[in-house]
This record gives sequence, structure tokens and C-alpha cells, in this order.
Amino acid sequence: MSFYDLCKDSVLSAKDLFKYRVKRDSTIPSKGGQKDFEPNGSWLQAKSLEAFMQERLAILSEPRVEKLKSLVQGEWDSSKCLVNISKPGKFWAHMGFTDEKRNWLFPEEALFLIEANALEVYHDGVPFSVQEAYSKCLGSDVSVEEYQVYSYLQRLGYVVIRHEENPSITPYERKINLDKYLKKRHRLDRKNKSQQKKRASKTSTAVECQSSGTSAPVTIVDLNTIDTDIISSSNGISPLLLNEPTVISENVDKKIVLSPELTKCSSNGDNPSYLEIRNEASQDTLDSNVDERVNGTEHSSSERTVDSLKAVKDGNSIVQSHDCDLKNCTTLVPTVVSNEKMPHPEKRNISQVDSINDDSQSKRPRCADEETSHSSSTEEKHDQDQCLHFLSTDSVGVACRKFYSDTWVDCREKLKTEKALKCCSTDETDDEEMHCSKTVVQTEGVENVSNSSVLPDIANTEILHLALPDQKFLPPNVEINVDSGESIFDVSQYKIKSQKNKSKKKLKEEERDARKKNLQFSFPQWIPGHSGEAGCSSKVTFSNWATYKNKIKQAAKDYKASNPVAHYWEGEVTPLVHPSDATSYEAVLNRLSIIESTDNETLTPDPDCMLSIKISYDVHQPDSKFKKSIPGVPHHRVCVSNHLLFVFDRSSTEPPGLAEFQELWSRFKDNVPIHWAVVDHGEISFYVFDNTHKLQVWK
Amino acid sequence: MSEIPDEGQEFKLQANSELRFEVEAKAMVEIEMIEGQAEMFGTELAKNRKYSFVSGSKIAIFTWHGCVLQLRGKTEVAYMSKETPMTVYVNTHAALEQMREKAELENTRGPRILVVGPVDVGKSTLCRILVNYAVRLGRSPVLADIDVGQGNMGLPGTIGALVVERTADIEEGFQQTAPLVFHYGHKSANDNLQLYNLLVSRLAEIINVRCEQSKKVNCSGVIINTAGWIRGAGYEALKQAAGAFEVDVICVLDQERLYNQLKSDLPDFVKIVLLPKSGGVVERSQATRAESRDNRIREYFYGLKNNFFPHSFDVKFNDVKLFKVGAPSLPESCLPLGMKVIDNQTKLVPLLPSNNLLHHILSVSAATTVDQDIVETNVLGFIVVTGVDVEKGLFTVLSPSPRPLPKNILLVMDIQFMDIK
Repeated sequence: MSFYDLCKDSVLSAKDLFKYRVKRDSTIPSKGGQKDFEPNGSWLQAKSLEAFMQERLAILSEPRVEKLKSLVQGEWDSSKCLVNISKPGKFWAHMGFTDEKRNWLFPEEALFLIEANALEVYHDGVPFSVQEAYSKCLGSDVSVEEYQVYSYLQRLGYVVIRHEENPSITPYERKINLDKYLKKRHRLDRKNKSQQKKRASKTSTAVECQSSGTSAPVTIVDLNTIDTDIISSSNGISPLLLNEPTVISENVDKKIVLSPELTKCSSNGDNPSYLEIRNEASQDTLDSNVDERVNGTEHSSSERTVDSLKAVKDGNSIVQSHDCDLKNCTTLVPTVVSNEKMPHPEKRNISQVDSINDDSQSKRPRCADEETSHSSSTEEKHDQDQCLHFLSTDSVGVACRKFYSDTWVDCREKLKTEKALKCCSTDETDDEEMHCSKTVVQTEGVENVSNSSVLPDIANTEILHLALPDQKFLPPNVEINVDSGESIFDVSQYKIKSQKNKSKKKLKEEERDARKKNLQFSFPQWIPGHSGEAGCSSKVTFSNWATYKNKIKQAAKDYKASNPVAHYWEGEVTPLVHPSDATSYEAVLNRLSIIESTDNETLTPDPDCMLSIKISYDVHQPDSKFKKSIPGVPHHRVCVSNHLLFVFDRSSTEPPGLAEFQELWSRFKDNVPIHWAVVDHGEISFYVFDNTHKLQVWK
Repeated sequence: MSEIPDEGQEFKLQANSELRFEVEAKAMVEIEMIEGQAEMFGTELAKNRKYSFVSGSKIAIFTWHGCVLQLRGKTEVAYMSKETPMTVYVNTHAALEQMREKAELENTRGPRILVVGPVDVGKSTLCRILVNYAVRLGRSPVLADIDVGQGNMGLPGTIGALVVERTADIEEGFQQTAPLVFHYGHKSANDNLQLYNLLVSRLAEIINVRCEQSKKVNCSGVIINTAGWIRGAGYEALKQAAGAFEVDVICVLDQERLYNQLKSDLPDFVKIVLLPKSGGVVERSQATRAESRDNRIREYFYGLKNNFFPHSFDVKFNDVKLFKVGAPSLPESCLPLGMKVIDNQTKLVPLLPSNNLLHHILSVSAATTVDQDIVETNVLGFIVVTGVDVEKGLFTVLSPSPRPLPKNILLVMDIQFMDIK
């Protein structure tokens, strides 16, 4: 006797129900058996079909027995189209989401659970029937097709979650394994916000008593507000630090110790921005501490505390230096300002040198006994630098790298105007270049006459003899000792040594080069004037760049003129390919761009049609490691479309083009395949592009 | 950062030798010169002053006279070496200085040096040495850096130049208060070669103007540091740069092939010399390069030793104009007959703010009006987008200095930075 028969007309006791809870009626086949392909009109076939239908009906009408405990109650929220559940069940591991301590289920999830007998949804105190659930849950947010795909994939065992339109994790983040960390941080942020409020009141009082002990009553007010800010921000991270309570107290201590300085600052009569400095600086350090703390699971905790303390110290020391530099600043202010106003860069250079360069290095040789003063001056210089840095940075004055001051703007402008007056300026530059080249030539002449230094060159020699350069050309404190034979550089020795040190890979490369050396075929040589340089330089000698460049331009022009098909380019309509372009098939075809090489990256879709394509679900493989909060990279993504007329969201009537698909795919850059689920009268089929559609025309 | 142990190591350096060391990860090393005279990449060390170096630094301290150094902290390696190419370098400097003197006397342009070579041969170091020596003689040369990968001037993804008036700081390098920096936006010159070449020539042009304005700068010359990309298009870019700056001297570090190639391809009046590399250079892996890029960005915002405090604030979408340089190209066959393709690679494309901006670095352009010139305008600084709120129409940025932003035209880089450590 089957379970169905048992419960047809009598109510079963709890004991009976429990007995049948797990067992299935094994007499009813769960699958349809052999498939009949074609109706042949025979009585036998009709009979077997009828029997099959009966069986299906029996299965469908079978009451499914589940533990009442595992049935979860939910409330339909018609305004949000979501289901609010009070107590999450087993399914919670891969369904639903939390918001302000309420647990929500998406309509498709709720509907699936209703069908799976795991959820009972109430609306106005009355539970939904399955039919009602269908009509309520589907339609607005989720289409029938989408639900069909969802439930299909769910039943297959995949973990299906709604696709997030804005992936908060970039491929770059994923590449360096940051996705998990980021998600965690988001959650922590949320947690912290709620906890922050509770603690705010406590800390403010604590700070008040601490700071009042150290500083004058006038400034206490300011300090309080600042320090509470800092501490409440540090408090934001306190849930993290609960296991390391010492760290927090140390941080706080640090601050309190330093507060007298602050008061000094403000009592100096300076503007309150310095208070801000410290505030911001230490907040920054605190922020970085937070980051380190969250991130640094690998580091030992002690290391981190050292780090954070150092960071705080740094911040403070900067403030200190700022504080003590104040006097220096006053003297430096005028020079800085004048720097800004000085119209001539030459003058500016000088003033900069004067104001910044106190040390010997920019000036002519110095004696050695000034060494100590030198060292101290470098230190001074350092401080001044910082000072300048602060001053010229901004009004707030936190230690930071400023944006570059645009001292090149006049050069840029001048160049612009010069370009506008092109004709005359080119002449000038020509003149100038002639000049310089002359000097080059002349210097060479000088070199030949006197035995002064020549550019050393280790090519094509065994031993390089270096003449002792004139001392006046050497920087101070640089002396070459001739007696020790340093003026000889043994090239052969060097070559042997460097050969030894070279890695195998490099050696292989060099070998390959050597093999190729005589085989290299280059078009530039073949077509003189195409890129010019190779063809001309060997024959004619030039004296400088200007003549050389002119010559090359001329050569290119001559070549064009001497070209037998040059007349094609005289008219308005010209050929697309110039003979000089014809270096390879690829070049010609690319030039014509009729048949283009394509690969996935280069496809560009019509931007308008993109709006209509929506990715519905991220599908993850069932995995014990899967976490709803950190889903990671999905196995694939699913777009759902209705097969009837190939309607995509009822707005276009075209199936997706390769380009559209490519665009969609490239939005993610994480190589997760996108499946197109096509629903045809309840039958679901998945389609996917396999991304092997590359075309290289010249191959 | 771990504590520096008290007991230090003492090194006695003979004349013409150097101490090389690398700072261990998460460690700090302090060095102090007790006796003698020494210099680090051309900058003199002050006696009895402690210099500290953060993790990952690779340091070489050279002495012409001999010195005693005290080293505290954890180093990966620390050894003394007598074989240094410093004599060759100082001879190079002397030759350049001679050219400078000549230029000063005749009121012409000083020498322009292009330092080229493969990766990890000490190009930047050679530049630093040459610049420092020049500065120590009272010159103020222009140091240009066209290596977009490392971004010694601004951030990675930029090229720039700097008029150097004082030697590089031992710890922090050259003072960068007002460098000329151009936004490029990618990690490699290969990503947009056309833009790269355009910017290099623009950089050269502006330096030319600057040289015209100041005699001192003019006769001091220009020292140009390049990327280690010397094959194919990289080599073409080098030639392009040589032409744009109209260089007089090219120093090729440690590669004879490149030397020969340049010899045959460049006109004769350009002096090309092959120089040895230092035995102390360390080869860096791809990963360390990426890390040093990231550190460079962090250093920009937080300072070398976390001594800066950048600001975080919200910027409304409406208050700024976002652009990117380079657009997908339009085939010429699609254009009306006779029309020419406009350069797409250097085209300014307006961007709509979106989530895609997250963690991208934005350059604050010095331009005031929206036109094509923005591409060729230098930038004032950089900010990082740390959060985007599309609904409220604002994004949160990490900025070196407090609000407001100096200009409202922002250029988006490909390069991303995550503000954590």
C-alpha cells in the first residue's frame, strides 16, 4: 500500500508521518522511462501514455512530508517585492541577504523555497498558496523565464545568486587577491558604524579628564573637540582591536603626551590650521593603522603595533619640525613669494639656487676641512626643504607632496607662439643649430691639439688608455690616482668577466642575434628614403642635425618624385596604398582595412543596443567553501532570453551579436563565460560563445 | 620594518673601490661614513651623518680617496669591489665638461647625451653620476627621462625632464618640485609608439625653449635616460629620440651590437661610445620591476619613508573632464574619398566616468582649455581613484595635496595602483 493511498482519506498520526518522511514510494518511477518518438495510433501506445500520465499525477499530488521545524515563516513585503523572514533556515548559506538586521529573500528565492516546501510566506496574516506566490513573486522584478532558469540551475545544484550590476571588485584587485579583504572591510565598516555611536559618549568624557590634566584651560576646549574626533575615529576600529586593548591605550597615550605641543602651537598665536594639521595627520596615520590592521593578517600583531606607533610618531615629528621651523619660515617666505612672481626663469634659477643651495655642492671646489660644516648644512638644508615644502603646499599645510609647480608654462606658451610663427622660427633654429654643431666640431679640433680628455670608448680596442683629465673638469673631491695604473681599462678582461656573469638566457639571446646578423633583411635599406636614415648616412657626411634632417626630408621628397607612380598622388583622389607602405601583406591589408584582423578585444559594438542586455544571475559551483558574503568569481554568468521570436527583454528582436556579446564579456575582464539561457516553452537551453573567433587575415 | 640592530659592520674601503649592498626586504639599513670621503652615484656623503635606505634599495658607495663606512641593518649582500668603471665614467664626464666649457665660452649649446643600453646595465645610475658631477661643478644640466616603465621623473607611464641645480639627495634622489612631466599612460613604449614619439619630440622642443631662455642651462647640456628596450620598434624609438633631442653623444652601455647598429644608422657627427657597465648591477626580474613600479607610485603619494600624508576627498563627475589618449583607428576605406586619416593614436578621447576608473591613476593636466593640445601639455601631478559612486556622481580620489585639484582636466592612465600596504 502506497503512502498516497494511506493519506487519501485519513489524517495520519505524527508517528506515521515520521515513518514516511524520508521514504519514497518506490513503485512510482521517478523518470519517464524510454522515450516514444512518434505517435503511431496504436491502442498499446495510448494505454502506456495514459498509465504514465496517471503516475505523474500521483507524484504531483503526493503530499510531501517535512518537519514543521524546518518550515520557515516569511512575510511578503509588497512595497519592496521581497520576503522578510524571521529565522533563516539551512538555505541561508547561499540565499538571501541582510539589511539592518532584517533577513530578506528575493522573490525568485522565496518562490523556489515555497515550491521546495521549505518556506511559508504570509501576506496580511494569510499564507500564500503556490499559485498566489507565482502571481505575486514573478512579473515585476523577475520574469517567468528568469525564474525558470533560476529554479532549473538551483535544482541542478548550482549556487545561483543575483548578478550585481556594479562589480565592486576590479580584476586588478582580484589579481592581487584583495577581493576577500575588501568585502570583509565593507562588512566591518558597516558594523563599526553601528558600534561607533554607542561608544562616542564614553570616550569623550575620558578624553576630557585626560587632556585637562596636561594643558591650559583655554585650549582645552579646542583640544577636546579634536581629540574626541580622533578617538572616535579610532574607536571605529575598536571592534577589531578588542583582542589587543593595549594598542588603543598606547595610541591614546601618545596623543595625550603630545597635546602640550599643540597648546604651544596655538599659544604662539598662530592660526588654528596647525591644530588641523595634527588632527588630520594623526587621523591619516590612524587610518593607515586601520588598513594595516585589517590587512595584516600575515604580520604578527607585535610588528603591527610597532608599525602603528612609528606612524604616529612620524606624524608627530612632522608637526614638531613644522613647529620649530616657524621662525625660519618667516625669513623664507619672501623668497618663495618672489619665486612665484619672477617673470624670468633665469632669475628664478638664481634665486632658487640662492635660497635653497647653501651647501657647497653647487659651487666651485671646497676645502676638505669644511666637511663638518657641510654635513650640518645639509641637515639645515633638509629642514628648510621641509619648510619650503609646507609653505608652498597649501593653507592647511599637512606634510604631503604637492602638485608640481608649473614653471614650464612660459616655455610651453613660447613654443606655442613660436609654432604659430613657424616660418621665421625655423630659420632661427636652423641658425642656432648651425652654431652648436660648429662648437662640436671645434671641440673636436681642440681635442686633437691638446691632450685633454676624450670620450672614452671601449669598442674595438683591447686596452683603453685613459688620459688623465684636467683637474678643472673634475668635481671637487674627485681625484684620479695615476700611479696606481687606473688610467688603463682592460677591455678584454672586462669582456671575459661580463660574459661570465651573464645569465644563460641573455647568452642565448646574443647567440640568436649573432645568427641572425647576416640574415637580416630590412626594407628601409631596400627602399632608400622610406625611413631615410639607413640609406643616406653612409654615403654623405653631415656636419650637424639640421642639415642632416633637411637632407633626409629632401631625400624622401626626391624619392616620392622619382617614383614611377607618383602622378597618382597629384590629383584629388589618391590610391589608398603607397608603394612604401607595401612592406608586407599585413601592412597592405591593414592599410586597406577591408578585411580586418579581428580578435575579441578589438570588436566594438553599437553602444545603443547595449542597454537592453542584462545579466541575470551569477552561477557558482556548489562548494563547501562558498560564502554568500564573499562569493568570489562565479563559474559562469547567465543571461536569460525568451526563445519566442528571440525577444531580449522585449525591446529588440535580434539575437545578440558577437560584438555585443564581446562588449558584455569585456565588461568584466575576468574571463568568466557568459551563458545565454534561451527559454522555449519551459525548455531551457544554454548557449555560449567559445571565444576562439580570431581572424588574422595575413596568415 | 624591523628594528635596526645596534652592532654594525665596519668596512674599510681603499681608494678607487666601492661598497655594494642590497637592503633586505622589510628591513632598513643605515650607513655612516666615519672617515675619509665617499660618494654615492656622484653625490658626496657627509661625514658622521646617518643615511638610511629602505628595503629593496641597491646601493654602491664609491670612494676616490678611501674611507671607513659603518653599516647597520640587514643586507642581502654587502661586499667591497675594486673593479668599477668609475674611472671610465669620470673620464666621460671630463670630456663632457670640456664641451660644456667650450659651449659656455662661445655661448652655444652644451653637449646632449643619450644613454642607451639593454635593461639592467645601470643606465639611470650613469645618468645620475653624470648629472651629479656636472652639478658639483656648478652646472645646471637638464636630466630627461624617457623611460616610461620606471618613471623616474613622475610616475610610471610618464616621461619627463628636470633642470637639476643641486646634487641628488643620497636617500631620495633628485629634488622634484617642478619637473616637466608628460602623460603617456602605458607601461611600455610599445603600447602607443606614435604617442611616445610625439611626446619625446615635444619634450625635446620644450627643453630647447628652456635652453634658449637660460644660458647656464643651455651650456650645461641635456642628459637623457632611455628605456632598456633596444630591439625592433624600441630601436627605432631610440633613433627618433636621438633626432628629436639632436644629441651630440650617445653612450651605449655594455652592448656592442647596439653600438655597431647605431654607428651605421646615425650620422657621423654624433659621437657614439661604448661604455662598460658596472659589475655591481643587479638583474631584476619581471616581478621586481612591477613591484618597483608600484613602489614608485606609493612613494609619490606617501614619500619614501611614509613621511607624507596624502589627502582623500570626493570629486564630482561634473567638476572634472576626463580624457584618454588614443582611439581605435578608423579605416581609411570608410572615409570619404580624398580624406586623410587623423592620427588616432594621439587623439584625445573624452571618457565618461564609470566604475572602470577604479584604481586607475589620473594625471592632472596643466592645460586650461579643452583642445588637442592637452595631449602635448605637461601634467601637474597625479591622483588615484579609490572609489566610484555612480549614483551620487562622484569619485573618491587619493591626492598628494588637499582639495581643490589645481586643474580640472584629467587624463586616465592604463596603470593601476591599489592604495594599501
